[in-house]
Amino acid sequence: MANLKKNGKAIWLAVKTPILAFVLALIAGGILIAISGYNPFWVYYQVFALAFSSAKNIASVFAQATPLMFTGVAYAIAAKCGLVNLGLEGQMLSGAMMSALLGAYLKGLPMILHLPICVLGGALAGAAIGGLTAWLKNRFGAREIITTVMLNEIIALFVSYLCNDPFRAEGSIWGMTETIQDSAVIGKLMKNTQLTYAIFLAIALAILLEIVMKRSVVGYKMQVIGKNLRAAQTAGIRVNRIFLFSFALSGALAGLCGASMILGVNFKFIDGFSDNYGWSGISVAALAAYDPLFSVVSAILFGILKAGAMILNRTSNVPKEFVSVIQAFVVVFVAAPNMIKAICSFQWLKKRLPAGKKQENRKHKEAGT
Amino acid sequence: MIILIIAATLRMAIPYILASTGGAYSVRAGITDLGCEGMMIGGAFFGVLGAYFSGSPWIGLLCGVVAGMVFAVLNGILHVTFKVNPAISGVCVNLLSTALAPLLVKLVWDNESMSPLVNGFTSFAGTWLEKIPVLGEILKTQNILFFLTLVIVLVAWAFLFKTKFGLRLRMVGEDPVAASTVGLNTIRYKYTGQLVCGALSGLAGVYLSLGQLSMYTEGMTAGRGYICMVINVIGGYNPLGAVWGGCFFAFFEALRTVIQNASINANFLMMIPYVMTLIAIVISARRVLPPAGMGKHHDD
Repeated sequence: MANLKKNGKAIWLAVKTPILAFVLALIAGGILIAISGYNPFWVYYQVFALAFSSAKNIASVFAQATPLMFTGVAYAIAAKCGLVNLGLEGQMLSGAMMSALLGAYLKGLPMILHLPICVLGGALAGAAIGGLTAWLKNRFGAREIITTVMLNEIIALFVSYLCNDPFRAEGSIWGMTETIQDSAVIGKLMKNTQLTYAIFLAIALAILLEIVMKRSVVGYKMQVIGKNLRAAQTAGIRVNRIFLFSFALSGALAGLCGASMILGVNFKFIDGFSDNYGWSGISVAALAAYDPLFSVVSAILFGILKAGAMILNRTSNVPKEFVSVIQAFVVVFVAAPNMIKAICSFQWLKKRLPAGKKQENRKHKEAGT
Repeated sequence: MIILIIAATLRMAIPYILASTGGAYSVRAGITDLGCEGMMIGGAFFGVLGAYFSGSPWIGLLCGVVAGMVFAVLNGILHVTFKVNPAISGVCVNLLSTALAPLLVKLVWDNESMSPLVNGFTSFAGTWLEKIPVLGEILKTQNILFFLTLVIVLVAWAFLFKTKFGLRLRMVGEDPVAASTVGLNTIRYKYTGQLVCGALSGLAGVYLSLGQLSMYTEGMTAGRGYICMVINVIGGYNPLGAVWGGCFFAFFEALRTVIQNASINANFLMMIPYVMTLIAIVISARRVLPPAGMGKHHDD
């Protein structure tokens, strides 16, 4: 019983920050909604109620969540060993382009071969870009924040060139590739929705990676590196290898996000199709405290907001752009747990000193039990 | 033709130069300048908003600069006060401003992606500056912000490298612990670096919106803030280096607009500077180092 209580407390401590951050983000978004002349309570109620009002709407929640799951898990995997993968957008685009080209130009294969090839191709393209970033870091010491941002720009221009010039579908006004073959289409889970079987792949991968992180040697090494790079080096962990592994894996997941969008939803690469999936992945992972399995949950949470706001936007004139603002606020609050503490403890109303002492006492107590 | 390209290059280089100069202050104070993009978007949008409601581009400029500084303060609060990883705090700024701008466009003008035309800065075409031989051809497409930028860059350089304040700012960036030991208020210096970064990035955004199009359209910064981060790396975190770096990227952008109907694809052409700088950065990664105290605080 005591054990249960202790576990409960541990769990609460782990989820306290994300929950508070999400609530604070909703409040901050609510203030914005109120300023712009809508009733925030009504808007939030409508968003959540509409998202679950019909089977089709629920499907659209999960459809919105699917790409976020991939990129969220992708960011989390890199973040676990202290890497900042800002290149998700580029890795996602390269995966999307690769699967679009394989899907359109690889002809005469049965579906059982063609679809896996396209999906794997997307993953490999993303992994190649992610691996390149890690290699540049390991071999030349180039900081990944700079190289990923550069690669994002290069890839965005390159895929835009590909779908506008050499692989442009005939007769199209906007830059897009040819439609993929039927044998490369990921099946729909529900008719007339965007929900595809890709969501199972995303969830399965998240579970798998959760196990890898918690129960395998590689996962352990990644966590050690993330917690203390120097200690990991001293302990003889081959940091470079783990960096390469983790960045390539992260890139592969981002590539899968692109592949799932092309093979399941768009059926061709359309120039500028991305709805910031890569950048949203950062919000998703941050809310999940960089845990693969929780990333799925937080992706669904964002999916609810996104789908609910889109449906609400159809029936009223509440702009759906609120969601991205709330998403941004989530990152702001999640990133700064100390800020949440400062806001929620109301210490800024009282004097500083006693609080510090109290906290220290509590730390001692926790260490003691 | 050559004059046309030079004129376009100088025009395109101004936002790069301004934001990179701001970024240099941020990095020299020890904070990654990833947030430039967000501050630039803030400047571009609020500049137009200010000009829309007041009718004067100068009020718009003020609004844009202040907006950039507000986002910079957010970055400062997150990174300096609450010790968030500087990459994440920069991403926060970018996410927030890329999300806010389209929302406000929707709310204020009820439009999906752009604002109406407002009073922007007028170019020198038709003034006496145009009549100067050769130079007039280049100057007639510029506006008053061109000269403002020249002054700012020189002042920023002198301030950073020739004054006591600049020396101290750089010291805070190199080693905040040592700086704090000799009695400097490192937090104040870091915030100052951030504020300069926000103001200049905001001004860069204002130049894009009020100086060129006289309106705000979504995605008009087109990742220029990120390029400024890169320009700073190759320019050695120096305002004068920012001028050369800015002109380099601007040259290719100018080529793209000047040679529009050539056989070479514009996107492909635009890849060249990126690939070249990526290679340059990779090769120089171990030689050109950022300040040693990047992301460090005086009390850790």
